[in-house]
Amino acid sequence: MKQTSIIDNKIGIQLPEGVSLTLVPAGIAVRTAAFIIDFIYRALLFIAAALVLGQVGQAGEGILLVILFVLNWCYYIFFEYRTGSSPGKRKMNLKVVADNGLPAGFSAIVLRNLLRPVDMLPLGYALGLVSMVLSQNFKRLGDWAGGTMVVYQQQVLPLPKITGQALTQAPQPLASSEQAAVLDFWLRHASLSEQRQQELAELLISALDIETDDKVAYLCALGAYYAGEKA
Amino acid sequence: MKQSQFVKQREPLWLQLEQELNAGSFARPELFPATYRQLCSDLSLARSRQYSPLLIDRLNQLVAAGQHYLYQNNQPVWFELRQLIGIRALEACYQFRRWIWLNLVLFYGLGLAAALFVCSSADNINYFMSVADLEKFTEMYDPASSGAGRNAQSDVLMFGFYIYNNIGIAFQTFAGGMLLCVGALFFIVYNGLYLGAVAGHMINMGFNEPFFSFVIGHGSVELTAIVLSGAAGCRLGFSLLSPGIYKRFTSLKLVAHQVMPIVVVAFVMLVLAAGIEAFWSPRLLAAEIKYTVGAFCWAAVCYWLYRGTVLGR
Repeated sequence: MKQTSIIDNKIGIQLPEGVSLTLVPAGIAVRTAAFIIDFIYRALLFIAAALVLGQVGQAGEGILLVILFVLNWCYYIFFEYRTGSSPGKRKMNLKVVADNGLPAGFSAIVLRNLLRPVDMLPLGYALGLVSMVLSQNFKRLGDWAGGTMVVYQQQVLPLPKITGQALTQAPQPLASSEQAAVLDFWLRHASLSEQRQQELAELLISALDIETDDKVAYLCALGAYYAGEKA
Repeated sequence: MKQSQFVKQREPLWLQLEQELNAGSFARPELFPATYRQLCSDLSLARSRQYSPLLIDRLNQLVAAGQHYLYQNNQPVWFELRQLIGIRALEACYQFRRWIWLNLVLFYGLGLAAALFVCSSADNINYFMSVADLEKFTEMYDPASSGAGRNAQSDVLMFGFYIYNNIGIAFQTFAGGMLLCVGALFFIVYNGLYLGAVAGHMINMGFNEPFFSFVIGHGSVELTAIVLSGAAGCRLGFSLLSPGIYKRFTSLKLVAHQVMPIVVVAFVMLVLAAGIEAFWSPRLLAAEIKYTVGAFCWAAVCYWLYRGTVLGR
């Protein structure tokens, strides 16, 4: 099988525990979606407050202005410090972490949000977008100063429970990347449709240069062999 | 070791850890760090033995969740804030005292220059503001009209306005500093000239007493907060202009975290200023009382600045 390096935007972060953790920084589209959701929430909160406080006269207007200030400046700081993600970011499955992958501290969160006005220049977060495009981890200027980045929140997925009859030996010695591909096919095949299983199995079999009739069953048995299942 | 054997051996530990992380409570919390390190070593083993990417992904996600739990922020915000305002802000003021002095001199120097310029000839005020603005200011401090129409309702309205407007401007001053100092310097220069010109105009009109007795109280904290956020912004921008031994963005990040406490103090000062300006300054009291209270405010602010810029603690 020909070796091709996979193009993705994963980054590895060295942990003090001696292992590298893989994180996926979030791009412009998904962060814009999160921003719009947050914006809608903030607008709804403001409208609700305006409807109530509109009845109170001038004092109500004063309190409304304080609420507008809080929604503008403190909304993100409050949520991102408490849980690492604002409601919009949580909806889009994102969270803010420090450059070293740890939860971002208070001053990092405050900085990335106080510097929003610079990112908004000259209009519509234009400077922030330029900075995100030019930087490796999609950092806007506030992220540079705060030392933070926005990454996908990873769900812990259960490992598929699969057992099966294994081959007694491999047809030919396979490279480790080929073994991994076969193993992955075996683990994942139950979650795919019959047709898709066939399609993937044909691709894999032809790449491995193996002759067989029932390609799916053969690959599963080979995967079970590499996983160390009983023959 | 084959993958299935490895999974069979380690799975109970992973499942237990996953359950405990989801629930957020641990049967034996003291064992969590050791279990987490065990998990890290499993991930490392799985990678080096080239097990299935699915398994590696699962372990990676479990490590991420564990790391998030182990290093989470568990101090309440007020604790962080007390630390910031009580200790780190004074240290930051000392560290950047030259920047604070520079901004103080720039702000008050330009203010004084503008005031003297306007005092020298009454027409000079037209360089600074439009006729409409001028009429608004004149009416605001005219002894004949002052105090009329203010009540508890409008006090709250003005409080909201000062919070929204003034603190917003202070934050923009700080953020604008990131544009190579330009934004912060602009706000310092603009506000210095404008406020100086207004003061000069009031002297020309003979409204000394209503004007100065109104502004002396909240001016102490408000003007100092403008200078502090300007100084913080300038230092932030300068870290990009002159990064020293660091890369530009590393220097930006280091300096940003160092100046942050100063911005928090400016924020606290502006909240105080909004309270004083809305609820104390418009009270119709003898000018002597207001000057006394104002002097007390200035003394408190100067004492704080002295502790910050000279003592650093």
